[in-house]
Amino acid sequence: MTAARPDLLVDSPHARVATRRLERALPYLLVAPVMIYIIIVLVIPVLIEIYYSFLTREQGVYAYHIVRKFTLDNYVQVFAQRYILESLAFTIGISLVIAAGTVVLGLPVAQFLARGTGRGKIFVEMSLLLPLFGDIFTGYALLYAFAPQGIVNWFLVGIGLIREPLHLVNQPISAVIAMMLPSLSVLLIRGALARIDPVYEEAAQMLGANPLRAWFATTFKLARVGVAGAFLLTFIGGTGAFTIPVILVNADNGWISTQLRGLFLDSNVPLASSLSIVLTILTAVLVYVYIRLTDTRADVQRYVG
Amino acid sequence: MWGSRWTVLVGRRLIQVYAITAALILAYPTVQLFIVAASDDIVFPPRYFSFTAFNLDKLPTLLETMPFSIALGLATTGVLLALAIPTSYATQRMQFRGRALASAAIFLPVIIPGVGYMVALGTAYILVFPDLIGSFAGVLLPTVIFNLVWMVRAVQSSLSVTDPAYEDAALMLGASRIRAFFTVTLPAIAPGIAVGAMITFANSTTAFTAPYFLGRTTALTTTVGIFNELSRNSLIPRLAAEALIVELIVMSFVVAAYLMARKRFRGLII
Repeated sequence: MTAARPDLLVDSPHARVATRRLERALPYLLVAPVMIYIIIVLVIPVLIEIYYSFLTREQGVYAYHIVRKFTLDNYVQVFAQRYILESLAFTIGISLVIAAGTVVLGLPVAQFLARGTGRGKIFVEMSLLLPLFGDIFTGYALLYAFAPQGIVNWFLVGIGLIREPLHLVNQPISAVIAMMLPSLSVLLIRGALARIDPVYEEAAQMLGANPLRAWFATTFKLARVGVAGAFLLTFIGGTGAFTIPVILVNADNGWISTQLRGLFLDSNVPLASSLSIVLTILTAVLVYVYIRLTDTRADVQRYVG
Repeated sequence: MWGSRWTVLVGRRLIQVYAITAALILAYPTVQLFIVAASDDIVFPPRYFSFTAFNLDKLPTLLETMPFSIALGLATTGVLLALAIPTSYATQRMQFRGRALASAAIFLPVIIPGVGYMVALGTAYILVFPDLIGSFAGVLLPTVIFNLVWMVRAVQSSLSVTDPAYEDAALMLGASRIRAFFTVTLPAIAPGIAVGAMITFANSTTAFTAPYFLGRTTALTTTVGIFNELSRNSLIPRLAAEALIVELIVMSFVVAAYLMARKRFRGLII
């Protein structure tokens, strides 16, 4: 984007060359600060982490220390240590439950926002934004709601479903419920549903399908890539979750992120580093799948030919 | 046909009721905090009302950590404004070799799990700058990284809906590139910048992971302070009052951003 400036037309050749050089260097000068920041604060620490993941931790006289002896043992340990594998399996399993629950519970809300008529849309939309910036407050509030004297137990006892209050706090179920509350996923599904022309659904109904079947066969089917994207994004969020499990369950909650913190506090930096790298690779693969899934150009190719 | 139409109408109404119920459940946590804070009691239904929990003298965690939280929010927003506006402008409006790489690098923090990144940064701090642990700068550096994507996306989405023809016209009329940017483009993308700044402020004021890992006892946000108090004193009503006050301060920023530029905000989230 180089626009001809009248003042440059009367400039000397030297000035023109200098201006052209500056124009060419300008984008690099503009992105340089953020790139330098990312390199210093993110890339270098991660490189140090990769380096440490190949070092050996040895028992000294008073404490463990790290020696510069190259080993792959830390990566073997990630997949051999029973408690790490159990924690990984627990995290992946619980994240699948959270992602599935979030999508199923969020679909009707997304449908209302994308197609619904009537009052309440702005209220629903604004309420969905609340947890995005205040999920930590949701965590604190749910501690009171899930307490034996809280509203959830009061309600369940009141309708006669239970006789004694349930101990929901300090249990993984409380974190699962908190993370299943509709939020970002609903907005993503809303975006996917809104892009589908309702004329397909109307045509299916005209041809005799009942409204639910018509919706599944047309709108949902065409928006399934967006729905899958929302599922994947929620799953990624679940695997990396730290704050909500720590607040609602405890600091030793079985999530892999808590194990990672425990290893770091235990000064087992090589094993913590290798586990972190494994998790990063897993997340990168999932993000890549998400990008491919939600790539609009791929969408067009898929449907048009 | 009439039966089908009736089914559609009932279905729509049911979905509306479901969505509004879901919204009420989402809004309930704030109400729950208010109920506990205003009754100074964790029992539901509340047995009495009292505003003693809001007495600031009885909220030491809030008074101790709020200045740090606000300072962290302001500093993170300031650093991100300085970093994100030029980068967004270059990646959105200019063609250059390495543009795709620069755009991808901004999304790196999304790929690396937060706790994994804290292990990496914690190790780097211990090895190179041990003084950063427990310091304001030590918490600020990763908080900027965590919020980088939000700010860049906000500015980029604002730039994408602003016609570059106006800036080109200013350049053609003899304005320098810097003058054209500050007098034409910057005012046009101001709503997007405001939205990004408010989201960043809200996120960084309530930051948890970075101060919890790297803050020790000297660099803590209010959210971590409340958590530490929870660990020490179990579930007491005072915590609800503290959380509610912080939430109201932060949410007022978010709601203001949303009302200011609703359409841009929506594009930013999706």
